[in-house]
Amino acid sequence: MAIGDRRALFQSVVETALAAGDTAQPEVVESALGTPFLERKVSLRARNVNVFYGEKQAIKDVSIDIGKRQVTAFIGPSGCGKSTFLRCFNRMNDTIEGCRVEGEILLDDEDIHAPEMDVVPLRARVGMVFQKPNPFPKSIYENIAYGPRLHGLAASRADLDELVENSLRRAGLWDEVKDRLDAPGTGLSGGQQQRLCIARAIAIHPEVILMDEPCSALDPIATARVEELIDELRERYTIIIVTHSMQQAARVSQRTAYFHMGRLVEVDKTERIFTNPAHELTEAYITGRFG
Amino acid sequence: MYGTLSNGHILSGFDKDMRKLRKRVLKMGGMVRDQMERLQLALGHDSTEQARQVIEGDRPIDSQEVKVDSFIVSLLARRAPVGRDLRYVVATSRIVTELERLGDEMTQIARVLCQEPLPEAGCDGHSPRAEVQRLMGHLIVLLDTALRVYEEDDARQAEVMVADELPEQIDLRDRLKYLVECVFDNRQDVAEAVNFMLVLRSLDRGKRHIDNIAEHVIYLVTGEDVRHQ
Repeated sequence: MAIGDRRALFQSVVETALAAGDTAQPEVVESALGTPFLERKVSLRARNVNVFYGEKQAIKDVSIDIGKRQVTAFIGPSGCGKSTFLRCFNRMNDTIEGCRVEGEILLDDEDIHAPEMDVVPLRARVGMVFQKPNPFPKSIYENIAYGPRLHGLAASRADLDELVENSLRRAGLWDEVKDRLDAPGTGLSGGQQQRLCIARAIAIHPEVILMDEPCSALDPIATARVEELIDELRERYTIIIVTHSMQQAARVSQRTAYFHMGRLVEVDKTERIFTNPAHELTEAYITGRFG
Repeated sequence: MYGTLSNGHILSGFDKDMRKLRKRVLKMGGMVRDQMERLQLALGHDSTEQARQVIEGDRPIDSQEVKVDSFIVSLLARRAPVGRDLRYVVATSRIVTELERLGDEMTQIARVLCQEPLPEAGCDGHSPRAEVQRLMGHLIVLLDTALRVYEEDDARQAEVMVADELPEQIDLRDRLKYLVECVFDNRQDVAEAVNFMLVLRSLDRGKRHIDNIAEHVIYLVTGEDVRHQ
C-alpha cells in the first residue's frame, strides 16, 4: 500500500461505522487492513455481547476472538466495561443481581450460555484470578488441593501431593513454600499470595485463566514475578488480563483490546497498539491525552 | 468517566518535554543551515576564511547532537512514550543523526575549499564554482522545507519531497566520465577535477540526508516506514 493509504482506509472504515451509529468492529478494521484477525486458533469467541446492570448498559455489542495460548490484555479507562466483559467468559456476572448478558460466547465452540452448560465445570475450565489475593483461610497445601478434590482430579493422596507440587512449581512458588506447606496461605506475602491464587487456579487444569488487575495490589518486584509467571503460563493456557497499567499490557500480552464506554474500540497485536494504533481514541488513551 | 480528547497530555510536563525536544532539533537544523550559508559565501567570495569558519562550526553541531541525544534518552526513561509519542521520539533521534551527518558533509566541502578553491572556469565552459553555489542554494531550500515539515508534522509535503528529484541532477558517474575525459585531453587540471568531484559527492550525500529527514517525518506522522522503498 502507498504511504498513508492504510491509515486512510482505516479512517474510512471507522467513519462509515461511526456514521452508522456504531463503533467500528475490530474484524471489519482488521480485514480492511488486510491482516489476519488471529494467527492462532480461537479459544474464546464473543459475538454481539451486551451486558446490562438493570437499565444501564455496560457492554455494547462487543465481538472479539481470543487466541489460544496467548495473553490478551483488556485496557481502557475506569468504567469502560473491561472487567464486566472479562467476567462474561466464566459467567461470573450471573452472581450479580440485575445483571443481564445478551449475545453469544463460545468456549471451544461450546455456547457457555447453553442450558446444558453447568457453571461449575465452566469455571473449572475458565479460572479466575482477582485484583486482591484471596487465599482460603487454610494451609498452603489445602488452598491448592481444594479444587482438585472438589472436581475429583486426584485418585489418591499421592496424586494430590503431585498435583499440589506441580501447580506450585508452575506458579514459581514451590521453592519458597515447600518446607511450610502446612502454614496458612494468608501468612504469605502479597506477591506470594497472588501466585498461590494462580497455582490454585491452574491446579484444576483450566483452559483459560482470567486475570482482573492481578498486580494492582503488589509492589514492583512481586509484580515482575507475576508477569514472568504469566509469560511462562501462556505456553499452556489462554490468558486474558485486565490491567490499568499500559506498560504491563505492553510487557505481557501478545494482543491488546481497547475498550471505551462499553464498546470495543480496537483490538490488534500489542506491538501495533502501542506503536501505531488505528483509532484516535486508543492513541489518546495510551499517550495520556484524555480530557 | 473520560469522554473527550485533549490536544495535550494529561501530564503537562510531558508536553513541555516534547516541545523542548522539537525546539532543540530545530536549533540544530538552524546551525547546519548557517554552515551551508557560510559555504555559499565562501564559494562566492573565494574565501578560505569563511571555509575555515565552517570547519570550526562543526564542533558546536556535534555537541548539540550529544545534548539532544541525551535529552531523548532521559525522555524515554522518564516518560516511556508510546504510540505517536514513541514514533516522534524515535524519528527525532534519526533526524538528529541526519542533521549531524549533513553538517559533516558541509565540513568536508569546506576542507576541500581550504585546500584548493574551486576554479571559476571548467573544461566544459561552465563554472564549477557557480555550479556548486547553485546546488548549495538548492540544498538550503530543501533543508528549510525539511525543517518546516518536521516543525509542522506535514507528512503530505514530506511525501512530495521524497518523491521529488533535484531539478539539477547530481549525476556523479556522468560528471566523473566527463572530468576524466577533460583530464586526459589536458583540458582540466587533475587536482581541480578531483576536488570538484569531492564537493559534488558531499552535495549528493547531503541531499540524501535531507531526503531521509522527510522520510522520518512520514514515519512520525503516519507510522509508515518508507525507507528503502
